[in-house]
Amino acid sequence: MSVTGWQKIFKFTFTQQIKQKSFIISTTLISVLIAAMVVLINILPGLISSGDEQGGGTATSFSFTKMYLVDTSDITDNTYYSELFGDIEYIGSGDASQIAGYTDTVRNGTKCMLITITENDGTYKILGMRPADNSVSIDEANAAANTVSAAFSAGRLAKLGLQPDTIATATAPVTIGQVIAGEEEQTESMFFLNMIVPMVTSMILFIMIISYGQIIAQSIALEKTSKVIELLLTSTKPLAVIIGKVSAIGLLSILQFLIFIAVGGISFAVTLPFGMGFGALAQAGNADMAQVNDAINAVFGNISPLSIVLIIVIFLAGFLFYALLAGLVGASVSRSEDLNSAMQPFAIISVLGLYLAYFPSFMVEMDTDFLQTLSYYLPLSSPFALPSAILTNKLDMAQTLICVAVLIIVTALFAVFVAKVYHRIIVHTGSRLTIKQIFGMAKETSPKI
Amino acid sequence: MSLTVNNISKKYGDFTALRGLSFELKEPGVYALLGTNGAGKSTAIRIILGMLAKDSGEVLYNGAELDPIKEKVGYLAEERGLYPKCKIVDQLTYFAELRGMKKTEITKAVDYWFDRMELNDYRDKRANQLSKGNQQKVQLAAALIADPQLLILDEPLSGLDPVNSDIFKSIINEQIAKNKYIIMSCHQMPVIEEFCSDITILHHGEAVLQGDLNEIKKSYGRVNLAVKCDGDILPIAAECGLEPTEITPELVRFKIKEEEQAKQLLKKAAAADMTIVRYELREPSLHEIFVEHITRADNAAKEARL
Repeated sequence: MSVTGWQKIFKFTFTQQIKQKSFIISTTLISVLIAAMVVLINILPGLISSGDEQGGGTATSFSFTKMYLVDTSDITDNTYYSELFGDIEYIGSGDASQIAGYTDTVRNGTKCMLITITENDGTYKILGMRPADNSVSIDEANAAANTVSAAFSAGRLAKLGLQPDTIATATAPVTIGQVIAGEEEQTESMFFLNMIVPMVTSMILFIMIISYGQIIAQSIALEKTSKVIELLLTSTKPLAVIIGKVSAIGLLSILQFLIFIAVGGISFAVTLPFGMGFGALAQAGNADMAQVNDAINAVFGNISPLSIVLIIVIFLAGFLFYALLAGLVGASVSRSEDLNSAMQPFAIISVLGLYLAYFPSFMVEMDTDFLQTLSYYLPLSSPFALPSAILTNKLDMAQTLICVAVLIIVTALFAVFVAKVYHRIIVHTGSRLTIKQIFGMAKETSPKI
Repeated sequence: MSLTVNNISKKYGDFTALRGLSFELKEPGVYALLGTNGAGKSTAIRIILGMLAKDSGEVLYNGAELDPIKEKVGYLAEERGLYPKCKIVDQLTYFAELRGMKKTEITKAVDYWFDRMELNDYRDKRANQLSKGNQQKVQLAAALIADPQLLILDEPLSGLDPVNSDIFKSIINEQIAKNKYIIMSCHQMPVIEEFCSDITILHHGEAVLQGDLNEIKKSYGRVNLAVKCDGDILPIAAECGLEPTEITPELVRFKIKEEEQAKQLLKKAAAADMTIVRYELREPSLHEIFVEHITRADNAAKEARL
C-alpha cells in the first residue's frame, strides 16, 4: 500500500483550500468574534469585580453620599455605626418617630439610604431603604445592610461583655456545603478542573473534527462525483489521495486554530492595560478570581513536555481517526446531494464520542467511574477525554500511555481498513453504499494499485 | 513494445460484467473497444488502468504486469471531470506534477498544450467558467501532458462541435504518428473506421467479434450494392435474384450473396439500355457489422433461453 505522491496531493489540496473564499471568510469572521470575546472577557471581570467590591462593604466603596440610620434596639448608641461608612455623611438616631420622616426623605431623594434596626418580641430586624429613583442599587443596599448587620451582631456580643478578639472569633464567616460521604467538596478550582478543562479541550477537537471532517468528506465526494478521481488514480494510489487530503486539511485546521489562538492572545495582551485579567483580579484580592487563577496555574503549571507531546499525539491521532471516517463517508456517495445524509452517522458517532468524554466530568455527583474509564480507552471518545485527563492528572503515566497506545493502534488498524476499501468505494457508482457493503469490500481482493 | 490483455474477467455478485476478454496491441496504433451501453467497456478499461480488481486474467505491458502509474498511462475518461472552482492552469500543472514531471518540463508542456488546444485565453479561468468542449480539451491535455506511450481514450469525441472535433482528430493522428499505443472506446463508428486498425466488439461482457478491421470487412466481402439509374432497376434485379433492402429517390440498395450477382445486374441494365448514374459495390460498414453481431448475439441468447 504505497502512498507515493501524497505530498503533491497535500500541496495542491492545501493551496486550493487556503485560497477558498469560505476559508478566508470563516477565518476572518471567527477571528473578529474571538477578538471581540476576548476583549469583553478581559474587561468584564474588571467591571464585575468593581461591583463586587462595592458590595463587599468597604467603607469607601458605596456610591451613595448620605446614610440615615435609626437604631431603636438599645443595643448600641447612635455613633456606633458612623465609622462603617467612612466619608459618607452619616445621620444616626435612636428615635423611632424619625423613621417616617427619613423614609420620605430617602424615597424622594437621591444617592442616599436609610437603615432601620428594630426589635419586636425579642427578634431584631435590619431594613435597608433606598431612593425611588434607583440611584442606589439593590445589591448596594443589601451590602450596606449586611455591613450594619455584622456590626450590630458584634455590638450585641460586646453588650454581653465579650472581648473584641472573642467577638472576632464568634463572628467569623461560616460557609456551608454538602458532599457525598468520602468525596471532596467541589471548590471553584475543582469546578474549573472537572468541568471547564474537559469542556474546552474536548470542544476544540470536536469543532475541528466536525467542521474539517465535513470539508474532507466534501472534497473527496467532489473528486468522486466530478470524476476527477479517475484521472488522479492513473497517477497515484488511492491511499495517497486520502492521506494527502486528510493531512492537508488537518494542517489547515491546525493553522486556523493557531490563528484563532494568536488573535485571542494578541487581543488579550492589547486590552490588558484597559481591563483586569484573572491574575490581576486575583492580585487585587478578588477571592473567586484567585481560585480560578489558582486552578489555571494548577492545570498549566503542571504540564510536562511529555504531557504536551502526548496531547499533540492524541489530537493528531484523534483527528486522523475521524478524518479517515469522514473520508470514507465522502467516498461512499456517488452524488453530491447524498453527502449530507451520508454524514449523519459521522456526526452522531462524533457527538457520542464527545458526550461520553464530557458526560462523566459533568455528572460529578453520579457514579460514572466506569463511563469515565471507558471514555479514556474507547477511541471514539478518548481523543476528547484524554487531553483533559492529562491536564488534570486524573490518569497516571502508565494508564495514559496505555490509552494513547490503544488510540494509535486502533487508528492505524482503521487506516489499514480504509486503505483496503477506499480504492473500491471511490470507483463505485450507483446507489449509496451501506456499512455492510463497505465491510464486505474489505474481504475482497485488491487491485494492484 | 506490446500490451496484452489476457482473459480478464469481472463479476459483481451474480452479474458478470466481463468474461474472459483477451486482445493484444502488438504494434503502435489505435485499438477499438466497442460495445453497447453496459457491454463491459468501462469495466475493461478500469481493470487495465488498475482501478478495478479483476477476478482473473492479466494485463501485460512488454511482458510484465502493467503498472499504469509507472507507465504514466494517459487516460481520458468517458465522464469528464475537473475541479470546478480551480484555475485551468493550476489543474494542468497539478496533473503534470502527479505524473512526476519536473518544473521546467511542466511549464513547457502546459504552454504547449494551451497553444495546441487553443486554450490560451482560458489559462486563468476556473473550470466551471469553460464550455463543455473546452473542458474536454483540458482533459485531453491532462491525459497527454506527460507524453505517455500508452493512451486510453473513452469516448474522446462525444459532445464536441465540428471545429473541436477536428482538433481532437488531428491530435489523435499526431499521437498515432508518434507510434503511441492507443485504446479507444467510441460509439461513433466512422471515427473508429478512421483511426482503428483492430477492434473488439463487446456484448454483455463477452467479445462477440475481434480482429483486424480490414480483415473483418474483407471476410464479409463486398456485399453492399447501391445502384442509381434512369429506368426501373427492380425487375432486372429480381431476375438476378436480388431483393432491395432500401429504396430511396436517390438509389436502391441490395444485399448480394456473391459479386457475380452484381456483375449480372450491371450487364442486364446495360443491355436494357439504362443509363447507370451510380454503381457502388462495397464492404459492409462497421456500423452494419456491429449491429449484425449484436443482433446475432441477442438472438442466440433468446434461443438459448427458450
